[in-house]
Amino acid sequence: MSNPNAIVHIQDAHKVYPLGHTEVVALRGINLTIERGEFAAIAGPSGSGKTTLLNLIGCVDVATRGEVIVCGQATQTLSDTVLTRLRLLKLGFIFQSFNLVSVLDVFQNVEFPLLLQGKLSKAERKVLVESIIEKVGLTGQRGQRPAQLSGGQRQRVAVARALVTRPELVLADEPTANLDSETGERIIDLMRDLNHAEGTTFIFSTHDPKIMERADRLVHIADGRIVESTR
Amino acid sequence: MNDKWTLLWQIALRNLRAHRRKSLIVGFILFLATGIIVFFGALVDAVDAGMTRSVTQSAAGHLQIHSADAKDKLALYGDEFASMPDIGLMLDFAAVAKVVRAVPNVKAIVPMGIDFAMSSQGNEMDRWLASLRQAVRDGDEPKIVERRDHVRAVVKRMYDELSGAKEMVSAGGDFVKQLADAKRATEPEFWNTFDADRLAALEFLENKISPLETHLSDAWVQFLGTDLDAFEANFDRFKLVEGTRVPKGKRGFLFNHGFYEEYLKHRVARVLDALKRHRDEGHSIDDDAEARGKRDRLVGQYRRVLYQLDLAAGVKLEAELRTYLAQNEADLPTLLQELLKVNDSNFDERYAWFYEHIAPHIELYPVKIGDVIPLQAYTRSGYSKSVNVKVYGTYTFEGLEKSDIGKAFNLVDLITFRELYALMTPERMAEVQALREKSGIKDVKREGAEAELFGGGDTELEKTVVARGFDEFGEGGIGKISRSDAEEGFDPAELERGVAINAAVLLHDASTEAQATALLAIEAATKAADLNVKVVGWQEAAGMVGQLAVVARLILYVIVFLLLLVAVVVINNSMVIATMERVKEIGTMRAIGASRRYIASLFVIETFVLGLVAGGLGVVGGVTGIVFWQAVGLPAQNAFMTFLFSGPRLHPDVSLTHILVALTLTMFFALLSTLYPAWLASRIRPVTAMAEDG
Ligand SMILES: Nc1ncnc2c1ncn2[C@@H]1O[C@H](COP(=O)(O)OP(=O)(O)OP(=O)(O)O)[C@@H](O)[C@H]1O
Ligand SMILES: [Mg+2]
Repeated sequence: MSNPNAIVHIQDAHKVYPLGHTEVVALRGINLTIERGEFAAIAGPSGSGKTTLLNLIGCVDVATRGEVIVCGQATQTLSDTVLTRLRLLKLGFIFQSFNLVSVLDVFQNVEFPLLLQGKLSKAERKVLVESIIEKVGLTGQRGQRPAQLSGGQRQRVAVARALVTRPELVLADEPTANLDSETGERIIDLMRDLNHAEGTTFIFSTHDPKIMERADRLVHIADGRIVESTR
Repeated sequence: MNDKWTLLWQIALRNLRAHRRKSLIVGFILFLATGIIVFFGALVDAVDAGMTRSVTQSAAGHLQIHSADAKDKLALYGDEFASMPDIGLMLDFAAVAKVVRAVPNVKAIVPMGIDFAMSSQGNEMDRWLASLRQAVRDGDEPKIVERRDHVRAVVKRMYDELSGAKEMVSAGGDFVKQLADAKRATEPEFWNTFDADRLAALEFLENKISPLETHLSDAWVQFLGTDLDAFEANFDRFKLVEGTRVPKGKRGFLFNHGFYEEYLKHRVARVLDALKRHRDEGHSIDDDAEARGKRDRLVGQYRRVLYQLDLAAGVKLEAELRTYLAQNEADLPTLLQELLKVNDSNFDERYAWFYEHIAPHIELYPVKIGDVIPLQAYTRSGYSKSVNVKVYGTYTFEGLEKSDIGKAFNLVDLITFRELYALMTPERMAEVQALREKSGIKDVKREGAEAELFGGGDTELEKTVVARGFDEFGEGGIGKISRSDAEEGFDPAELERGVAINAAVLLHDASTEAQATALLAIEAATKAADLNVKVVGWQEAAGMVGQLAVVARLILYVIVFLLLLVAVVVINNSMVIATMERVKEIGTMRAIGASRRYIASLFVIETFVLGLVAGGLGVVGGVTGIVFWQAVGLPAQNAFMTFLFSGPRLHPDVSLTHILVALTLTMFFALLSTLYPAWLASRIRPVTAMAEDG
């Protein structure tokens, strides 16, 4: 790993999905390095492999071939337990369909990763969770369940949940796809602000050219290959 | 750190509410299972305890002892072939009793023997012939004429009835032949010459006509020979109903009250009684196949009334019945049949009429309290033996009046029992030995002595014993029994010194453990004393009956097992479905950093909480059910249930053990059925969180 500033380093990564008797090749030789503090967008047509690539970076899946190094760890050699710890301690996730725990309220959803980490006291958690809820502008909704919130509000909760542990890297697969464009832009702005303020690395995928514009790094993929990478 | 698990409990609880359908299904099953286990567990225990009381407090005691030479297993209430098993003999009961009484925890030992005998009560024809013979003997001419004409009328009626009855013709060759012989007694010729040789005519009637009726009235009684005082003192359920106790040191017979009422009483009266009981229990005759059958057969029993009526009573009854039934043309047989055509609407009236107008003219009981009856039995080697004994009263086992076991035995003193089966006391053995030596035979074995007693015919031994009044057999007939014989006393100590077939041991502490300990102790003690006896628990001694509790328990276990199996399948299914519904949420938690264990725990906790709540409610339900029946008493529907319940009602009791067992079982099976869904959930891959659908 040549670049000491790289948080993600991918070399010749292939991903093949078995599909019945045949196979679907989702990624065909990805080479990509993301540096700390980058606000990177992955763009490409539907089926091009954006989600697959984010899965590899997010350590929820491993490459069929090639090397994926995240936060200094080569993921394909790690056990589920270590990968889980890696996700818990170093990564944050924002999902296209928000994926909040339906039976928990806003505060609890945000607090959840902190509880899993188990590093902070109840009081410390409270301060941290409340400050981040304030940052995403949901102080008034802290006791509400996801079902009572709008799509935009839910995604703010998801952003807060992804960032509350101060992860090194936040992954977001089409975070704006289920939101109207105005709300979507506000979510991206929120992410952008946090990127600036905290220096957290963001990698998100999107179809939306307006969202791509907000990124300072744009990776274009098509048919499982990187066709263009601009800064 | 702990807060993470606190949250998990919170999520679990909230999931239970969120997935209400699943929770209700699974919860209901767990509720049902726990409730059923508590309820039926307590019920089976109560039945077990009831049955234990029924058996141990009626005749079995806690342990039974019998000879180790037994060919069959002891079955106090009969084995599956309803024959008496051969369990050998304890020749020296006194020796056994001495050793057993010295064993700790032994309260008492009661000698006994159970067997069948024929109660040759005679029959109506016998009685009429006996009274005719008496009149002939007394030379009382007017009485002879009256009795003769009556006998003639009865013979004619009986012959006509029997030869017309299909069921009798099909009874077999012997009967048909006897019937043909009897024809002569119906012809005018026979009666015209009756006065010429009355004794010959009487003999003909006694030999040819009487046996015909016997076809209808052979009765076997099962009885238990015992030390009656010890029996009464040790079996708590014993209760005298009519008459008096058999005085100490006297020979005597006590009828089982249920047997006396339901088997011995005049057939027509007892069928009417049975129908009355049935109706008193709130049923109608029409509703019940058994009751209908009894009613339908009742009409055909009119002969049993008819044959018992003397001429005067017949005339009187005919007149009364004509008025009562408004049938002025009909003859007595027709009227009696008409009267016995009972149904739900006329029953109470006819029943009362029967007891008011007919009962006084007939013998309601062939044997009355205070009568002396001959008991005729066959010894184990096949010899017939008859002993006379006085009936002192009737007894019952309290609470078991309606159960078959409560009616199983009549009671007789052990001395009579021994004589009936030629089970000799050492004194008698010595006596026999002396006689044998006198007549040149050296060795006396029990079997040999018995053959000697009943066999060949004219050895001095037999003559001597018969002359002592030891054997009344062959003389026959109730009228000939002299009271002094039957009331012959005995030295109470003789009860101990001699043969018993088996013996009941009663314990102070009757718990299962104490019983097992006592059994081993008695075994060891008798073995040390070289007594050659076998000790068995009452469960084994009671034969098939003793296994009932085991069977009931087994059935419960099977039902519970099946129930739990169904529970496991249903819980497993609905949990798997719930898992599938929650794939995305679980995948998300996994992606965020929840471990597999954490996810699996979530499912286990959900089931645990549900099991605790539903199981708790099930316990409340089951306990409520038991408490209800405890207060009300579960009614026994029939004789068998009366036995199981040890009384007319069962008052079950629920203990902490029932509750804990039920909760443990349901919790165990609930958690067992969660293992697979929980494992499945823990295998949900974090990547599923990324899936865009739903
Ligand atoms: N689990 C899977 N099994 C089989 N094939 C899959 C699986 N996941 C993705 N694919 C296939 O891999 C290729 C890349 O899919 P991927 O979801 O990464 O594309 P994408 O760029 O995220 O598309 P979209 O813009 O529609 O989200 C597609 O052809 C898809 O059908
Ligand atoms: Mg995608």
